[in-house]
Amino acid sequence: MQRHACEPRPDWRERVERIGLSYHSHETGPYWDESACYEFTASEVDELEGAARDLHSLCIEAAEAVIRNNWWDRLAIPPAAVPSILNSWERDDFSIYGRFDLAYDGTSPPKLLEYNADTPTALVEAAVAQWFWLQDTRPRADQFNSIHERLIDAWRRWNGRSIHFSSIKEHAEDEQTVLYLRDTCVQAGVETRSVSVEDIGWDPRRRCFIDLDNVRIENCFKLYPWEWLWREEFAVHLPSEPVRMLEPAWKMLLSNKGLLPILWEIFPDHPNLLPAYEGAERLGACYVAKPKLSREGANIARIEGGVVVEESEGGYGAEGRVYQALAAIPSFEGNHPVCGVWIVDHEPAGLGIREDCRLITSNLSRFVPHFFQKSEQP
Amino acid sequence: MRISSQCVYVNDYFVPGAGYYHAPFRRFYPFAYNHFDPRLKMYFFGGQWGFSPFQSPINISSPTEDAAKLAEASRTDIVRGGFGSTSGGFSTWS
Repeated sequence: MQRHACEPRPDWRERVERIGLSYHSHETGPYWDESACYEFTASEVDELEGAARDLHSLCIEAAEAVIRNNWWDRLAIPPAAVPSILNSWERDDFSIYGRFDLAYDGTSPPKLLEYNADTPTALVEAAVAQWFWLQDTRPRADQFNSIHERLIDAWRRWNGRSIHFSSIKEHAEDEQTVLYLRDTCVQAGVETRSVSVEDIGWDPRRRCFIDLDNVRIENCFKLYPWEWLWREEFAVHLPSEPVRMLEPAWKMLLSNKGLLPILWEIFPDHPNLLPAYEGAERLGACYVAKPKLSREGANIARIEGGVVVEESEGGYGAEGRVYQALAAIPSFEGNHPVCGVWIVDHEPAGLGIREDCRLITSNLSRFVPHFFQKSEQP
Repeated sequence: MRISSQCVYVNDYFVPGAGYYHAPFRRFYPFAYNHFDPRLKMYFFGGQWGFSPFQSPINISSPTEDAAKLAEASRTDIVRGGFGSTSGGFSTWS
């Protein structure tokens, strides 16, 4: 695993905008950053892929343990949500995607930092933008990236006839993410409609959710966290399950950092897991404290020698925290990459790298493309 | 918005299917507050008819929990905006 400095394509902004990455820059600098890239060996890619496959299986087993032992409190899951989670688990409701964030340095086994299993973003960047970057800059190289094809295949396997796609208003990244997913769904031959989360209506006569044309929402991909849905006004209608959501309700078990101590409890010393507990005591003076439901690196604190050395802001934490051993996140001239391995329809499908000068990856962390050299053909 | 015992409503706040809110009585009724029926020559308030309008200083109140539930169950209009309040319109995900 190496980091290379690169010369960005002269017209990189126009190029990434053309494929939907309109949110390529922050006020403080680029978000899409092709002034650098990461190179992997084929065996390193295999290792990341294998780790993600194993971790997904472990998470499914851990979720089963939560259900079997009624560990709802350990995940701060509201009691009202439990029957829906159980129903969706029993039905094996379809899941389209998720993303593991892994600490990896190319030498030691990848370590799970968290599983973004409900509302992962950085999808357009990983599936499309870096693929076109590869074609433009290194057409002979390869990339751990079959996200696009896997998504289309997954929608084909999904047995629904039509689906609504929903995100919050006036948020370019979310709108583009959902638009891209909708495009893959259309390519699979599924009928699609869109409705903003805020515009979803409730028809009391038909007892169903509806869009702005009063069309019933039977299936809905929502880029909106489950735990937020359950605390809002329309949550009163969710127990009757008038709509099948994607991601399904059972993903609340996997997208929750409360699962990290459970994973460690069930699979102690697994090479892809970091020690994690519900209290900090067993980790000594060095650890990371994570709210169970935080997103985009919010409210994460890094403690070294018993002192908080890095902490991110946010509005999470009331739901409780978990404590995880420090991961060996590598430093490439002060840049710390985190490997996001995408899972599509339960299988590893690609890689996206976010890097930061800080050790806590946040919503401002840069997306940096990657490649690996194709194996020699015999 | 959903009818709630946590919210306040003024007299004659109308919800299709549930009716008109009568603040002094904290419930919804099929006729407006102090509605006059020229045939009966009577006024309607709080679920009953009287020969004169009901006098009360209460023009705004919250419905009882039962009344809010009943109104919500019987309303026939489309309600929107019941999802999306947590985001505040600025959040990104993960």
